[in-house]
Amino acid sequence: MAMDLETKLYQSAARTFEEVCFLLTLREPGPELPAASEREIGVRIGFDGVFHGALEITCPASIAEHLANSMLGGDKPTAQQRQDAFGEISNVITGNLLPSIAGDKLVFDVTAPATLEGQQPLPWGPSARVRLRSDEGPIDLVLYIEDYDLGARS
Amino acid sequence: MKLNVMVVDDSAVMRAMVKKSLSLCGIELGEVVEAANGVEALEKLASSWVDLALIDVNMPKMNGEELLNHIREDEATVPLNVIVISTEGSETRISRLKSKGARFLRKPFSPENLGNQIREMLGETHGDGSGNQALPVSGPDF
Ligand SMILES: [Mg+2]
Repeated sequence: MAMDLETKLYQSAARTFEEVCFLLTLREPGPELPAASEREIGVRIGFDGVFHGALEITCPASIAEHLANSMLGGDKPTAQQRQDAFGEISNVITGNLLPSIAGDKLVFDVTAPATLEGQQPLPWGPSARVRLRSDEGPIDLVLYIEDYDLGARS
Repeated sequence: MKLNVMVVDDSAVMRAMVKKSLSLCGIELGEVVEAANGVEALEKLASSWVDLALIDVNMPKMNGEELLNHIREDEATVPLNVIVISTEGSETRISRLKSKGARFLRKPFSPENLGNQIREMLGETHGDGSGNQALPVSGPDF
């Protein structure tokens, strides 16, 4: 089941990066905690419905810049635009992921993407963790679902 | 006739993308008004003439579904053409939005998708028997 969640997380993310910004990604086996230098930009999106939890996505600034560039084109994006573009991509990933887990009949309320910096850690352990490798650097995704702890189940 | 469009999304990057798509999708564009959430959108709707609203769902302060409810409850805005542009994945919510006379476009979308939705919506507007009331907007070849 945990493996299944990770596959769904991977597929939702890989599809989104490819569709939105032509960023091809590969799943890395056995992801470790990302180094701080690789987590320069981070976003958390909460969801609440038949289950509740959050998705956190982190990456180096270079990836967020690539995303903002492909979404906006033109001039070098500002830090705000990088964060905003990364948040919007995270929104799309969450929008793909939730129906793949819960089916498309159930309704979830999804929070606006929040900068991860300065946030309280979540009270649950991760339910799924995936690292994607791309030409622009690594992207880490951690899914938290209340009462669905990866550690407690493996 | 040029189409005045309101773009409602909490992401400035997404508003810029929607505006870019509008300019590429082959419709004759008039004024484009932006709002970052439902509250701002209602304020701007009260003071500007808008033919079509493109609305995100997940927004702080007032989300897109609540905004659509307000639009349909107010006599002045009830006939407004609305397309919801969102990452929403729940068919239940999408049906709910459609039952309130909105069309739905999933993110990510192409300018072509957007143009087709707008043309179809305006075609419906001019058509008959669709049951959809909408503002009397006329476009180039719609
Ligand atoms: Mg939003």
